[in-house]
Amino acid sequence: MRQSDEDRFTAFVRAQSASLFRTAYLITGDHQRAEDLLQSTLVRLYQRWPRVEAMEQPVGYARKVLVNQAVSWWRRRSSREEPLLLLDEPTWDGGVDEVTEHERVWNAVVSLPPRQRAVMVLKYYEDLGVVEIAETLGMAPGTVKSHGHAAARRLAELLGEPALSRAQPTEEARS
Amino acid sequence: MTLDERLTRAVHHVADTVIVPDVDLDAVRSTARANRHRTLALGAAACAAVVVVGIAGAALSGGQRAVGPAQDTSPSTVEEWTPERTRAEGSPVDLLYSWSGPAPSGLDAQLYCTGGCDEWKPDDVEGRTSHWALEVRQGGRSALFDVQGVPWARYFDEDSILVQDGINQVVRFRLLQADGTAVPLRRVSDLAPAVPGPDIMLIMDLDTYRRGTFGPDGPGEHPYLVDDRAGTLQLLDVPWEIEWWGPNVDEFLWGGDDCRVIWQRPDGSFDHHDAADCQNTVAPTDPGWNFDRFAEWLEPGRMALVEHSADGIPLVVHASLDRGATWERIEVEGRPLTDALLQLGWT
Repeated sequence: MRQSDEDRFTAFVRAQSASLFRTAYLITGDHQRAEDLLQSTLVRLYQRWPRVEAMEQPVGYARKVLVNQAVSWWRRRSSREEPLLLLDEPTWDGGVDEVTEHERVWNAVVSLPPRQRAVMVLKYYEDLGVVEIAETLGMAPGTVKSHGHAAARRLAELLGEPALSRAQPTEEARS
Repeated sequence: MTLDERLTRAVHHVADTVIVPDVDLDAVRSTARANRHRTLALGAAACAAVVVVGIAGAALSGGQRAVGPAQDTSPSTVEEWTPERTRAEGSPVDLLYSWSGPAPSGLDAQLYCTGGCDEWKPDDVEGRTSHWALEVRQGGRSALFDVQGVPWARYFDEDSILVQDGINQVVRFRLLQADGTAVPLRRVSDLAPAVPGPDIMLIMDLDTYRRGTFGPDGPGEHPYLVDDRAGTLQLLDVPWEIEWWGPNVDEFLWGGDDCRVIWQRPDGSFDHHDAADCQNTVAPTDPGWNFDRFAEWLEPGRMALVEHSADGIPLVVHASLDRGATWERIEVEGRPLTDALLQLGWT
């Protein structure tokens, strides 16, 4: 690789690795695994760097590689674990310590099946839309919406939220 | 505060408070280069750690499993990739999604890869060749096997794993054990009678899966009769239109497609039920949905189909408790699915 390519790869890593690590951590919930995933993703990027750099969105490709590896790992691990069930937890009334509230919500997210969790992380952390999430995970937009809705219903159940009302179809759903 | 706001705040709180490690760019570069270059053969210490097994030609005593022709276990050359070299120089990677981790008997497997290791393009379209090895472990023993691409694997019995691997539309099936035994299974074109039993298992069509998009939204599993003594796999003679199967094909053959549920009657013939005014459906066993309670509820003889809106909102559960003799239609919109199961006598 030419020195200029090397320099641009270094700059890319410095700009994006923290965000990529956080995404990996949110999906796996495991610091060491997130670190391993980030490392293997960067290795793949480096091996393909001239081609990756020429893409319209190199960070989108990096995220795709990382997220799909994370989901594969988490899918295997989660099949051996009991889902967290918080049916008896009280509804949050705003009086609970904020950190405790974050932990409670986070525990609920952790209990989701891997693809539902990935959809939620990409939506709430990466702030991606349905189409972008679909491209990242390699699934149809309708499937993303199904996973997202299933996740939302599960989280509402776990967190003592009132039953969701029927969602109005989005512009995408109508089209 | 809405659920949306709670989720946004919690996720960002976790992300913002996690300690982000420094990236060792030198390690990234060196790993990338090491994966690219072929090196000399392994040291003796790495070879001594595992038993590298070939497939021998002689049958075992006691009428047990036969094994195939022997693999070359001589020391590897610069150009030769043996399973132990792959294990030593490669990295652990995940088996295909259906792998569920160590079995109660302690049987487990670990996949290793070196090279491009792109599981969606196992022959590495950029020209670098990936090398794969599968380690099967149980009770302190382990054995390494050559595999091609990311294999699909599932427990067959207490000491065997059924492994499907291959690239470029050429797949092979083997039963692998931690003592190094490898029983090749050949697919028999004749269909097996549709009779549930302990040797019936759902096997994914790996080639179809690889040609699809990432993520097994429809992996195309089919019931097979696995005869480890004869070394054969036979697809069951079941209705071709069944797209997904219930979880207990060893006891009760049933499945569905769209708004139709299909099941086997006691006399062996198949019957079906069409959910009236039905639109979008999903199987109760779909891994992408959080239907874990259905797995508990689906005893042999019970069947279910979940109908949902175009937006993915579960609307109706169609269920039978008596092998299709009667069907119930339970509205679930706005309620947890467990309510439907409780209504169906789940305790």
